[in-house]
Amino acid sequence: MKRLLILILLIGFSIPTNAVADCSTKACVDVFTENNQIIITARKGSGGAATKKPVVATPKPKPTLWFPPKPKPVPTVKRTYKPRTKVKKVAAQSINLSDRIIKMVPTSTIAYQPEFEPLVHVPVIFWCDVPTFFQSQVTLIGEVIDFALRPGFVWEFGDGTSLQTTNPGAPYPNQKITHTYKQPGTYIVGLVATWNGDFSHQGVTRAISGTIKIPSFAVITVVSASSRFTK
Amino acid sequence: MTTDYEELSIASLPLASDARFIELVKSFAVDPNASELSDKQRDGATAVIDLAVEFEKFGVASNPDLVARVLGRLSDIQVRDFALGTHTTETFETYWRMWHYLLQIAPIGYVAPVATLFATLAYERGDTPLAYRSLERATVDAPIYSLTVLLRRVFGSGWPAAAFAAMRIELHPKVTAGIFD
Repeated sequence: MKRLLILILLIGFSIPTNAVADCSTKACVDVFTENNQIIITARKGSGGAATKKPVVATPKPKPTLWFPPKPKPVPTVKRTYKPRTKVKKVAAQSINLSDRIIKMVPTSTIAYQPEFEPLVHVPVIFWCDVPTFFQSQVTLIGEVIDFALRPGFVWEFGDGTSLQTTNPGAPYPNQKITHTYKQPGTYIVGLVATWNGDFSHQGVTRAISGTIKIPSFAVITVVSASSRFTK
Repeated sequence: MTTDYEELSIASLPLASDARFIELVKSFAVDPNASELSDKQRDGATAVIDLAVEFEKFGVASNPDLVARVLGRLSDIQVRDFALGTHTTETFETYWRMWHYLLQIAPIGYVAPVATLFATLAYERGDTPLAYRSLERATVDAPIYSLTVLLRRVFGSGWPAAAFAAMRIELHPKVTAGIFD
């Protein structure tokens, strides 16, 4: 029974103490995605409830018929030193610091060549204006956090074909992303850019949990080339 | 969390397996290599509007020929993309009833286009589970249907429904011009 009690006490005290020690000695930093945004959080301190002064109930004065004696005159002393200035209290070890920053990733716009009426059976060059690398540095509660994300792309050309790539493409003469339409018509082209990455804090690099997916769309009208024979 | 529409049935009705109705739908299917492709696309787009007017007036479809025409013509990507942008805030309920009914009576091989259309409305309404159920029906009917794949990615990205609607509205005039100009 006694051993069990000791064991319970040990478990009960050891877990919170360790947890507190993690963020009280150094900052706890996390970078994750939420609602297609990058969320950076940092926390320093015990992590538990905010430091509060113990509430001491002050007794209300009771009415009495006793009058306090008049205060004795205090002898004035000539000051030969500088009067004390109010010094700000240094934050106690138990104080909590936390902050949160939201960052957005670049959005993409679809572009293609030829811009005016691409022809059937002729490759159309596609690209998007998204960088292949997105990095940023933020400072939260005095902690420097670096993070970097790279996009992957899934193209849906609207005619039933799709392409998965990490290349954003580029205008002519670059022909990394091309598609040839077999039928004339107007097609809705969709692009979903998926961002993944990692962040580093105090020399430790970790993966950003979650991904960010940004869709974008465009309409392309493909026409058939009419043949004209002349003499 | 459940919504009012989560339990809405999108399963097939007996009409979907009616031999005569299936033949009628097939007669309106669009061959992408047909010489009169543009005419059929225009016919399909007009049929979508005509059927929506019928649903607006009577709340149901009374013309089986028109219903079969819409289902058959939706096999064309241009007609489907036109249909994707036809509803507005004012006509949302009409199109909701129409696509829901068509989804339930679409014969095998004609489910995917109307299922994706209904999925977009469900997504815009904020009923993502129903949107996914509708996409599931599309996948069962056509496992590699392009719009199903695209919508799955878009819905999975958590794109706001309002942004999706804005995209549709922005693209619709271009799609319409591609069919009628």
